Amino acid sequence: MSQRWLKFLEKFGSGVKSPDPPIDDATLLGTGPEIDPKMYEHYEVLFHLYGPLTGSPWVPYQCPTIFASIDKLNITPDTVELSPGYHEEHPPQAWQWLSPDTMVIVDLPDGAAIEVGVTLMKKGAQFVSTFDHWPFSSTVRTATPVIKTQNHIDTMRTLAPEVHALRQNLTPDVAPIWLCDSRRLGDDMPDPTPGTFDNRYYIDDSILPGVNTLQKGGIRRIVHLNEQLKDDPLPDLVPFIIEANKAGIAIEKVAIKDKNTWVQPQPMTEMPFKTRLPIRGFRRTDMGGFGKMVPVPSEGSYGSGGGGG
Amino acid sequence: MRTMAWPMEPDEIMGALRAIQFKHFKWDIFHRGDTSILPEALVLTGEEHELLVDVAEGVWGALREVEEVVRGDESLLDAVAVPEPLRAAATNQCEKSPRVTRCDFHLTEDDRWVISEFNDDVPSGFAECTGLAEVLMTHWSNRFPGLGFKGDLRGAITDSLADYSSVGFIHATGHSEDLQHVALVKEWLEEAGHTTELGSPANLRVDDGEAFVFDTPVDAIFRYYPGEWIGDLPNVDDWIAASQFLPIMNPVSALASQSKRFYACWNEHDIALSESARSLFDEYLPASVYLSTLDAEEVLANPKRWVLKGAFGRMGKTVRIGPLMPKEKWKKAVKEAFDAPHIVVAQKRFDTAPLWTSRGLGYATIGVYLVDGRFAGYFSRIDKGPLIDYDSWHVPTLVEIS
Repeated sequence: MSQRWLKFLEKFGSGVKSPDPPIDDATLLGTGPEIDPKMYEHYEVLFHLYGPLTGSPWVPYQCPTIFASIDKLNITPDTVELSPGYHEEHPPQAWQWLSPDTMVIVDLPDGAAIEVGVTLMKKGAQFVSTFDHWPFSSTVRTATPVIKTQNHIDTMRTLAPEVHALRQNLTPDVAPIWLCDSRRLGDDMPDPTPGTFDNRYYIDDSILPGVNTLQKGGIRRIVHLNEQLKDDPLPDLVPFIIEANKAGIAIEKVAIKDKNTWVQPQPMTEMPFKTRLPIRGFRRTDMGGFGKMVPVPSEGSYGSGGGGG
Repeated sequence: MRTMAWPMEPDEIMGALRAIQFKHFKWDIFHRGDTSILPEALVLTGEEHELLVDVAEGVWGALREVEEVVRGDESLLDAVAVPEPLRAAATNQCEKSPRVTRCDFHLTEDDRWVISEFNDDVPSGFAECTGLAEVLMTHWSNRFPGLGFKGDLRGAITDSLADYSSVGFIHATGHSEDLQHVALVKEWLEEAGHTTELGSPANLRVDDGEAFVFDTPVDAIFRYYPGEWIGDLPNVDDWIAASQFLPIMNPVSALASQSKRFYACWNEHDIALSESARSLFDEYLPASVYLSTLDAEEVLANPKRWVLKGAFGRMGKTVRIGPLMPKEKWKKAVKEAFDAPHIVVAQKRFDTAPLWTSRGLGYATIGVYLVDGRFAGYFSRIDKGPLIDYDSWHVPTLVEIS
């Protein structure tokens, strides 16, 4: 075990020994050429690398849930085979449009969002991770989680050295990329049954900045990146996109299956249909989770509230 | 009571918040781009602390008198808006159910302590209560001379559940803020040697007199799922069956006293109270009345007099405070309330005394945790306005140590 890893464990390994101020990459991982690969398995390193740069206005929006699960459930991040399509055969001029005034929402299944995100990062960008779900863990039985977690974690681990290297040349004002799992609402999966661990979730306004914050952060354009150009953003993102559009922020689309859009994003000429605000539109389903639109009372009525008191 | 800013540098404050975030399951240290924890403390004198503890424990005990009456009478359960499918469960529940609750105090402009409500069903804030105390006192206790945290919420809950070797943890799985809460208690129980299982409400099953979460037999349940939604679950029959023999923290009957209408029921239904209960209620609980005894025009014309509350609103979601609302919105709120009077209650309004904080004037609520009726710690919040809701800041509560 390397001395650096030992020092790292001493600092972050177990329990709260010495709460540290916000850390930069050099403090966390050192500056030398040799880095123990085990460092990239640590939840706090991954949380750091897949989050905004220190001093960035987007720091408050990084979601820690999946990173906390690595620590609390003793998950070992592993390396995984990546999808070659996201890393090769890019058209000339692809992703040149990425600039500090652009927020990108990469909304793809499983680890694909991370892989595409790293491709974009090479053009100068920082991440905001939104993986707000918890893996199933039990010492006595197995259950099928609706949203798989291991692939996200392994993809982050696999690309961590590359992300670490890329971050060395970035400043806190580079474009933010919101990394989202397009399966979060569970729409393309069978309905959970009582033997299923329901870990669906939606992206709420604690993970998305308001219009004023976007504008204050210099954002003039939002690019929504999903699988196909014909697909609308998922319903939990719609109110955010409509609100930004109303405030004069340009909304554009990129589809991972349409390489022309990699070069030139398409304007979102028609805003997606807003059914309801997510906070009202997504109530707990009969499985105790989210993901199903159900009729709810209007905002002002005396319907049920949410969560604990 | 006074406020004090944490005598710490900004980097130290962020270090403390980061420590709470991962080690104490307070993942949402940020909310809408701001920190959800204000680096400020509410400071109580020793006498204030003792008073709040005595009052909270006393009123909690007195409320149990009422709860015993209400849960034994289906018409009263109906009157306080307990959903029909759960009334039998509340009546016939396991007698050994452990309880955790939070009593929310406010200091009024005329220097009185008033309890706006008890959170009897699924009280929140455990990570803030225990995490802030541990991190600040472990690393920065010298910055808070003569001050300390009171209560041991973790010890009280683990003691209360000590007899149950296998505990199921039930939460609304779509909310990570709910997950972080149960994950914290789950960790406490695991470290105390219990077997645990985490699941959604639909994962509870009763088979041949035994309860299971998934396939794991459980001796008790820690429930962090609003009781009023249990009736809509596909396995409501399992919940009703389980409640008859399985200790549940909190039991289904907590739903009765969680209802804001509960606070009107002893007067509305002439429930006999002990002299001490009556005295405590009169002194510390603002009067609550059913809308059937009020005139809509009178309420509309006197927004400063009443607060309208939905029976089961949480985090201030269904609280309508007249003076805080534009006239048109108050009019709409009154109309909606009188259109559905059976699920609303009117509470006499009181003026909370403002406090000076590092963010300007603020209004505080001091939450007192009780486990099985005994003091276990504080969870307090501050807001820029008198309504404490989802956007309010969390603040630690310190007590002067003589």
